[in-house]
Amino acid sequence: MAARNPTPASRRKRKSNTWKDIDQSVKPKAMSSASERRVWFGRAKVACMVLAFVVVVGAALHFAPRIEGGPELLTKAGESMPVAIIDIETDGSLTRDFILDCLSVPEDANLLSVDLDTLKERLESVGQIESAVVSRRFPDALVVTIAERQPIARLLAQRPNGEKLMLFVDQEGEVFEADRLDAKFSRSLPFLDGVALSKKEEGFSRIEEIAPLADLLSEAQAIAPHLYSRWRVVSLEREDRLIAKGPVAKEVVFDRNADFRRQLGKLDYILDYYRSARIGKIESVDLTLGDQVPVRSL
Amino acid sequence: MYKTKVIAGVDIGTSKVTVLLGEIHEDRKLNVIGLGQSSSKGMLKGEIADYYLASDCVHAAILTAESQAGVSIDGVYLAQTGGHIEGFPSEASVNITSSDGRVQAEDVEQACSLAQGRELPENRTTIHHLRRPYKLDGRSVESPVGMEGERLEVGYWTVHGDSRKIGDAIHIINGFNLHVDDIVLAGLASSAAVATADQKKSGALIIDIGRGTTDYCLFLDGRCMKAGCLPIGGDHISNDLSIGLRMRLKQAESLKLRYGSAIVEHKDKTEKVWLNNDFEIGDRPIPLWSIEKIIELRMTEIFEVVRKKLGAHYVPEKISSGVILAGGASRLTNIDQCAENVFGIQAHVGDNSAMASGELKDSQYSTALGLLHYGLQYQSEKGYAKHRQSSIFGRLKTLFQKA
Repeated sequence: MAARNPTPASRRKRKSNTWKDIDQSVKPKAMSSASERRVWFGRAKVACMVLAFVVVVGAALHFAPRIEGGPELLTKAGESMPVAIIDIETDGSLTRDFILDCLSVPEDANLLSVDLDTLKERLESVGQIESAVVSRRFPDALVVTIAERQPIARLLAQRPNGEKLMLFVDQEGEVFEADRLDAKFSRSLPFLDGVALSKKEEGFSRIEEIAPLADLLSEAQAIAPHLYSRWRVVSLEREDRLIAKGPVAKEVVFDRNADFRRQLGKLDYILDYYRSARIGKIESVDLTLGDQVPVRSL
Repeated sequence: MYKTKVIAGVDIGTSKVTVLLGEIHEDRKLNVIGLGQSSSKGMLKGEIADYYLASDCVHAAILTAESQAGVSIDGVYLAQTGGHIEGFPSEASVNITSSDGRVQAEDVEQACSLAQGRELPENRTTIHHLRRPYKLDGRSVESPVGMEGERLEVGYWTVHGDSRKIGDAIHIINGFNLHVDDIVLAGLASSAAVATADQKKSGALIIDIGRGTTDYCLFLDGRCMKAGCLPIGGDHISNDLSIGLRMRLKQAESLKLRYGSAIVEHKDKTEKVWLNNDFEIGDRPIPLWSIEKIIELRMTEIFEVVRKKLGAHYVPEKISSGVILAGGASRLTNIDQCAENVFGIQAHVGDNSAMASGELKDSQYSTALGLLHYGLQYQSEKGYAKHRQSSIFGRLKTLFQKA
């Protein structure tokens, strides 16, 4: 593009006066009372805005350090909330005092400083407790919910020093100590026989294939409690068989794979017949052969 | 969300101060949201005679408008009138120097700046540069950029006034802690309200007769060719009646409103009307013919002065839309016939129906409404310029222009 010639002097823009050159700054002498009020109101508005700004900035500066040290300050704030209530809920026989002993929460502990995981570990280290949930309920309460193991049978073992040791087994096959179990209840449980116990870390290994026995005992408790209450020993010593031993019938053999209700029905009939016919005591009843039930008398 | 802006138009007249507040929606639509009026004090023939009295009236009207609209304004558009307003034509021409003989934007800019650059006497300040159509080698063109030609001419009608008197009006507004965004000649503002774009395109003469002044604007081909202000108005009619019929000014004003006519309707010289119409001491009969004759003579004189001021620009054949009358004095009976007699073309009393409805249609609000119209136009142009500036092409263009 060709360069344009410089603008000749005659074509330069000239300046002229316009009304925009008139100074519009407010002169107080030229103001009416209404306008003075308006000006003062305007100034007050500006002053309020400046004041509000200063307050906001001041507040921000004041609270900034607190916000920076937030977690620490929150803990400090928690010091003013000591644990006043410990709510305990359990589905078993453990007593409140025993659970409080297990928890060992210091008297002056505050709600925010207690370690919930530690409390949970303490509780779950008790063999009788299957699981525990510990939570905070603000402002000043701890809530403990416990699920206890339900034993189905007991085991008699021996400590290395020769001392007798009573163990219990639940329907999952877990073997545990249960010092706090109700004595009457524990005495009602049959002994488990025919299993090999082995140590595992601080406890014992799980007993496998206990599920059929748990089913049998559960059915017997439900439909034939008079039979169940006479069983002193239940045994897993024979493969595919469950053996219940007691004073009425010394040995009753159940088929693990057959219907327990039918087998219990037959056993009840046989025992009833023997009692009414006064035939005498029964040595063994074998319920594993279907419709044929061999019964041996003493 | 809609973008809104509140603008204000302030018309400081000899009889009253009118303030209108308008709300602009998205730089396009205008709604009138507030009206404030107060009777003028300290004003004489459209000029400020007592600063403090005038300030009080203006501030009271602004306050009323603000409280009615429930908003607070920052700036106003101010109408300017008065005998100190004058105008002159200024013309300039440049030779097209580009190699292809086409008019460049720089040529137009140079021609315009030369035409606007005429020095004013001391204490005079420019209010408007009203541009007339460009002439390229003698032919009228609206936008000459890109057209081929050798010589570009541009003409302006420059309106100027006494800088001290304009300053006084501005300072009254400043005294209320407000800023004057723009000053508009009262006649031009009225024209925006009473005449449509089509009427201006086909040629129209707008005459706004107030109490102390008469503003006029001649539009040809949609552009204002000449505008001015005369220090004569409705007050002069009352004054003539007062002197001619020997009565007080207030009585003359009352007679004018009750029996005034801009042409002699009653030829019977014995027909009389009562001065006060209360039949008490001092009441007397006045010949109706005398009242009408005095008014006719004065009105005719006013129109003749306007015609004389227009000079060679007044070509009746080019003013197809005729004379459009506005202002308080246009309510005088038969004023349109009087104007027709003087100008020799059709005349009618205009209203603001193109811009407003209801009460605001009355021609006493023409100037204030016209100011809002100018404000809307200014905001639209500003919005468009801002939009162009913010676009990528606009920014690039600015960069190249700076380079």
